[in-house]
Amino acid sequence: MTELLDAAVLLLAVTGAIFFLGGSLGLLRFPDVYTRLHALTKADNVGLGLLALGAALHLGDPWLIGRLALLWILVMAAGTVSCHLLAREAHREGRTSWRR
Amino acid sequence: MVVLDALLALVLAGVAVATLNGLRRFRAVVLFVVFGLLLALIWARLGAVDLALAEAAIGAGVTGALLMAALDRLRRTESSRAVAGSAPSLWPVVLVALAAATVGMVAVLSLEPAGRPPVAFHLGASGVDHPVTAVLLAFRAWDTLLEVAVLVAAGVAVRAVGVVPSPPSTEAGPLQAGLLRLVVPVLVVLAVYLLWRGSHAPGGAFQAGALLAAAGVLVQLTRVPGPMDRPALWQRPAETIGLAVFTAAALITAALDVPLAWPEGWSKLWILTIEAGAAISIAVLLMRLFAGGAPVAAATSDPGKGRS
Repeated sequence: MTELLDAAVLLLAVTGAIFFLGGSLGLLRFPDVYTRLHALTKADNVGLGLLALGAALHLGDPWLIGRLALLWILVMAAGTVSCHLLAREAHREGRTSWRR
Repeated sequence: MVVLDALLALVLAGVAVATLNGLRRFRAVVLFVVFGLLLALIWARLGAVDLALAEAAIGAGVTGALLMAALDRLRRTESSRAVAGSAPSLWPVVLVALAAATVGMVAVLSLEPAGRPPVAFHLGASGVDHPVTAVLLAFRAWDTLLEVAVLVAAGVAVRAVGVVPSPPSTEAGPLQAGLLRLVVPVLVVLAVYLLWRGSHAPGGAFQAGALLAAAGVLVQLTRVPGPMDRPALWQRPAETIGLAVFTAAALITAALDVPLAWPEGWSKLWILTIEAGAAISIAVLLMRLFAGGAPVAAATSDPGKGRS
């Protein structure tokens, strides 16, 4: 049972890290500010969620799991609003979005 | 883990150089915040969780916000903002820092191993279970009292600057207002929790004050109507309450026995009361620093128009 749990934790952590890697690659490689914001906020939120889930399974303490959940929600909320504000500012400055 | 630590140290040094080398100020400010967060991670890895919390909240968070506000003011006041020429060479600074670090390391390594540190030995007498809080508010309460007085002096200095252009703020869109409604209550609860936690684990007045200040800065930035519009009513008392409570405690204990020697069995209550006052003062003072001058009396009542 513990081995199964450890395997699940490992899988969640590695998958989370892959999402972070994807988000970072997007930030570096995407052509304009809107697509970069998209990569960063979407992929990293999923990555953090998977990491937090893995940590929660690993720790198993309800008090700590509650704090991890709060952390994830706060990071998601802050990330979403920062993304919105940055994109709004870019839009007001008149930056056009990338077209193929 | 050694690999991770070495990587952290290398990245920290790299970010420091990049921060100082950047010709663009916005980039330098962002890198400075990254530097603070990395430093907080390193403090946490070294087991100094109090320092990690303070560095993340004050070093990266509040200072980052202060620098951003300063940058915005510079942009609005400077006519030509291009910085010509190349950045000054960093090598003299790097060499001096390396020499100082080497001397410090030699000094530390030549110390006798302390065995059980004296703080741990006397912790029971302090009334709290966390050594950092015990040092700050029991064993060396005198130092902390003077530090709180310094904060009040800083508040007076900021006021002396007079009325300045307000920090950048935008009308709160629905998303920002929603975030505020979610985050501000959570920050206040977390601040009280950190204050309480300081008696037995990392936390305390400075960390709690920084969180409250973050909540205050967020409210200032989004211009929601409320008590923040009338700072003249509460700011001065709030800035001094920490010093007032601390001084009163010192006078009462001096009348009872020895100044700043908390009555036996009650020291936790004394310490938490002082820390609560100090946290409020620290929070308001950090917000005051962000606003950058004397409170603007009535101008906040007409949002949207430029304030002078």
